[in-house]
Amino acid sequence: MQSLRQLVLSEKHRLHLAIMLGAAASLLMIWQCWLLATLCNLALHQQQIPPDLLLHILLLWLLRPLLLAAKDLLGLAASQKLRTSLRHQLLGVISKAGPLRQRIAADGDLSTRLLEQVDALDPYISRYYPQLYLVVLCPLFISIAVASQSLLAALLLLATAPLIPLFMILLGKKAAEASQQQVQALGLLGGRFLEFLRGAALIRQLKAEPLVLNRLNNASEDYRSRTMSVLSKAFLSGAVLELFASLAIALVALYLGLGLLGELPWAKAQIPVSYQPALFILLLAPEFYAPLRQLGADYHAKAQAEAAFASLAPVWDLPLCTGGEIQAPTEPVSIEFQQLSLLGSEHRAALLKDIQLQIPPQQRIGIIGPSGAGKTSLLESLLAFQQPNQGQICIADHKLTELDLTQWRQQLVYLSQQSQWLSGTVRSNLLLAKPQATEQELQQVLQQALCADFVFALPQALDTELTEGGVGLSGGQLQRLALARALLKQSWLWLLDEPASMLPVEQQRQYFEQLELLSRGKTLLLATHQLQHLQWLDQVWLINEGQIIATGSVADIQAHPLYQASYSQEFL
Amino acid sequence: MKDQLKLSALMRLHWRWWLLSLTLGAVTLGSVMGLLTVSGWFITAAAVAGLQLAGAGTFNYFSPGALIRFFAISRTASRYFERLSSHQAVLLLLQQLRLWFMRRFLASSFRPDTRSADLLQRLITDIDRLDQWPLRVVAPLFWACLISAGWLAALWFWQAELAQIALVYLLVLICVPIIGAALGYQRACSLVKLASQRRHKLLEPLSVLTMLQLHQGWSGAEQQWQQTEQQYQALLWRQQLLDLFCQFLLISTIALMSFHLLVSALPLLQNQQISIAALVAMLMSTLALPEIWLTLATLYRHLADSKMAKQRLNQIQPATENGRYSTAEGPLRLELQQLSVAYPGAVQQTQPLTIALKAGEMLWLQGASGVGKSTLLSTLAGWLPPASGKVLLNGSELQQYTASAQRHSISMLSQHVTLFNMSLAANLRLAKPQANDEELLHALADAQLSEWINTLPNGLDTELGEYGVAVSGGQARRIALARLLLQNPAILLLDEPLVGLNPTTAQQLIDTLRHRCHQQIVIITSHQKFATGTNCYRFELNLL
Repeated sequence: MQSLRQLVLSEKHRLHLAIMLGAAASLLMIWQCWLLATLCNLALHQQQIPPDLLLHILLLWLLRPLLLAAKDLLGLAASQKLRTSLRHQLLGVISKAGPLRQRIAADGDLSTRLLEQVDALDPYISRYYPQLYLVVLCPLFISIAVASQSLLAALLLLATAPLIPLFMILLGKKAAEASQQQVQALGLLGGRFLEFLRGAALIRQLKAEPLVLNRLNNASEDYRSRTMSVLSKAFLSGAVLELFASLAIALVALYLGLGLLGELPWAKAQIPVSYQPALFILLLAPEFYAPLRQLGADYHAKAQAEAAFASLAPVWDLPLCTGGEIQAPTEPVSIEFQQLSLLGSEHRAALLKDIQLQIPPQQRIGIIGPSGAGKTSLLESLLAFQQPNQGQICIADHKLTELDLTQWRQQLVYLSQQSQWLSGTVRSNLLLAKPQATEQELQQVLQQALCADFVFALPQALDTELTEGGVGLSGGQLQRLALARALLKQSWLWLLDEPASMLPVEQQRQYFEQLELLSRGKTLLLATHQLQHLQWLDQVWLINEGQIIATGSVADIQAHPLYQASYSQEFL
Repeated sequence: MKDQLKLSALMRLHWRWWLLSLTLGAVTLGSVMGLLTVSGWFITAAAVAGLQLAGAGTFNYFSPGALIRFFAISRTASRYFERLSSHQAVLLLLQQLRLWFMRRFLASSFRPDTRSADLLQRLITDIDRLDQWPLRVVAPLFWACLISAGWLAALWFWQAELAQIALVYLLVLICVPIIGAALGYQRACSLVKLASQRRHKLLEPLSVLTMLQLHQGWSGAEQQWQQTEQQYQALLWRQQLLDLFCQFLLISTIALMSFHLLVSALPLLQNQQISIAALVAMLMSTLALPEIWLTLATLYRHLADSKMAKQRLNQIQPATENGRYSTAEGPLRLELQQLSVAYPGAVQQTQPLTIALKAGEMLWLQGASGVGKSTLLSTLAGWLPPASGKVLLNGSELQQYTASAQRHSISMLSQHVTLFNMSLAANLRLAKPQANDEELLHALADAQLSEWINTLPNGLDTELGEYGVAVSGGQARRIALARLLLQNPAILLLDEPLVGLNPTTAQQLIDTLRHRCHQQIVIITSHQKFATGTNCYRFELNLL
């Protein structure tokens, strides 16, 4: 998505129709003013008022709000359509990004952007954009209408017109500056407020309430005085514009009035503009400035929308992997990393560098290295969310990026460090992996994953409600439950990221013994921070700073100096 | 409920500013109407005078001319000062509300954790939303009533017959916001609720996105969210339609009124009861009415918004004090009798623990992660009730002490350390405002931070937090430990204080702690094992 304007243009039919309706309403208004002036002129000369003139006036008077309502309706409809489709696209990208989404922001922030920030585009689309055109069209129509009756009055209005763009720029800049400063200051103040709220427990414990309230008061006081000094300047440009508008109307009125009296200094005893056009001009004069004032009022909507749109930009730049059409293999095949490199987000170093490895089918491999070395990145590279920056992964004879990724991921078992749970029962969480699983199957996998003892000890067993994120069970229990869920899935490739890190040492032994039995015949990649109880692995890779340092048997790696340096402390 | 927020009280404290801004706003709108009315009258009267050529010379055009210029300037000036004074009033209001809410929040028992970030953010938005009450509800209503009443009075004074017609229409006009409220208030309230549901329904699947993608669960979750989203959008659309409808009603009612007045005035003109100039003036004055009334179309929405915001803020209640003892006297004894703890919502509790600790003793708690070590400390701090068993302080149950007595005796270093965006010294002095620099440095040295502080060019004045120097998790925890040492409670609960320390420094920290706290009770959780000297109990925590 390139720019806000381009986004808006994809709904241009509705919006241009809205602009046309706005312009038409403005023409109706001119016509109506003419009819009103005609009526007053007839009354002035004590002539009969024709009834159809009255009828005309009434119709126009009612037709105009109808047109304006239709215009607003079109703007709103366009805005809703645009926002819905934008949100749909964004969510599509984010859902394909998997763990990559964390590079943009945390999930809470991300959903704020998807919901509130996308909604913040509404005033821009529905009001500001049409107004941008109307602010040119309406004054243009009016000045033509006025010029047809009195050139001087038109000139008076138009003399202030060049000031309008000038002041719009000034006003815009000032308003933007002011709102930016205000937003910054408010952010600071809001930040302080939020951090005090977050730290409420600590403040209570330290009995620091008076201190904190005092600080907050000072911060608010400071914010207020700074904001007021900024605003007093920012409003001034608006006031000057308004003054011009008011004075221009006043001048037009005086010119017309004195002209009708024949008292103009340069045209004594002459009537330059007769009554009917004079009243017509007077009625039109306030409308000349109205669209501009509206635009000024909506200016902050533009600033807001631009900021919101900018916050969405990083979503489009995610290095996503889209995949292809080729069917993913359903039986164990060889996997080959060919010079694979993955970059992290902008400022960080490469996640993986020149990984060159081959995994024969049904090999069971341990990946070990200090934290932050790239163990997780290596496992995630096989989930194929991120497009490799260099090199590739080959699954049998095909590039991973050419496979049908939905189907590929269906083949995988992946246990992340933090097992992920939805709120709901234990059962409903397990069934995610295999919706049609029978009770017997569930019992079996729970047994296999060493969960049966604690799950069936719970009063409601499988129907125990987990709150969001799995609160209710300990970290180690959730890790075993995640394994049970994985067992429900038909899969030949297992990617396990420190799956027993939260288990006590004794249970880790059991877990790994069980894992050895369960993973026979599968290709297994196991990221781990220690090699105890893992003698059964076919191969171990030692990884550091995104590079494979060594490969070999468990004993080989345990003898490696880097392994010894990193892990000696743990086994004190 | 004491100290509840009421919308009607929002404008009370700074009523002078509000009165000023309301008055100036009325002057502005009055000037707009005045400018239109007088100019209409002026040129028509001038035209009449011009027609009767004799009259032209005697027509006094100075006073209407002056009036026109006056209105032009007063409109600008009063609008400018109205904007300033209303902003001043709003800022004062928000300041007052923030302080009110902070005081109330601190007095409540609400304990923010990592999960409550969203809630806190929403409460802050709620506070900001309350400015809608004076700005979007009270002020427009006041202006519409005042200006319309003034206009009606002038009309009455001039031609009572016309004023009667106008009165009927004005009564219809005032019904429009009422109709809006009747049709839209409930919906506006449910929209506010639906908005938070919509967010929650998106956030939950999003936070487990990778897992859902691997299990083909995403499309189902997305569909569920789409349902809420469509419901939300449909309601929103209907609300927007209602807004447009109310706007249309307002404008067309005013148009009808203007027309009716015009038609009724024409016979009066023919009977020479009124002058043509006055008729044009009346016509022009009605043209100023839409601007005044239009803001009332969305009145109900702002009313609902501020009501909901108020309700949510009022939900945070000050805690009721129900402890019997306000101090714990003498040397402290802490007894745990068959104590078993569980995190709220957890389905399991820990194995019961029985131990008696007196001043100078230490308890070292071990156990796998997630087993409940932190929960046990939180229970000992009095934040959570025991799942079963008792915590006795000097022989009485902990819950029988007032919250303030508990805080006075017991202090906890949690794993989520709170450091504020203030200087290091200011952060430390929260615990002991009158402490001198030497004391601060001593506490930092005891928390094994002397080396670190020596590398800081600004020393104690170093700014911490988002805009200051970067502090690692382990350092943050030890700064908090130094703060705790300054507070000097009788019972210290330390949750994993050794994270990020090499074994030598960790051992030093334990030794210093034992030395400094030889008259206090210290309870430490750690997954590491260290020599702790005498008077130390060890316990391995497990789930039942």
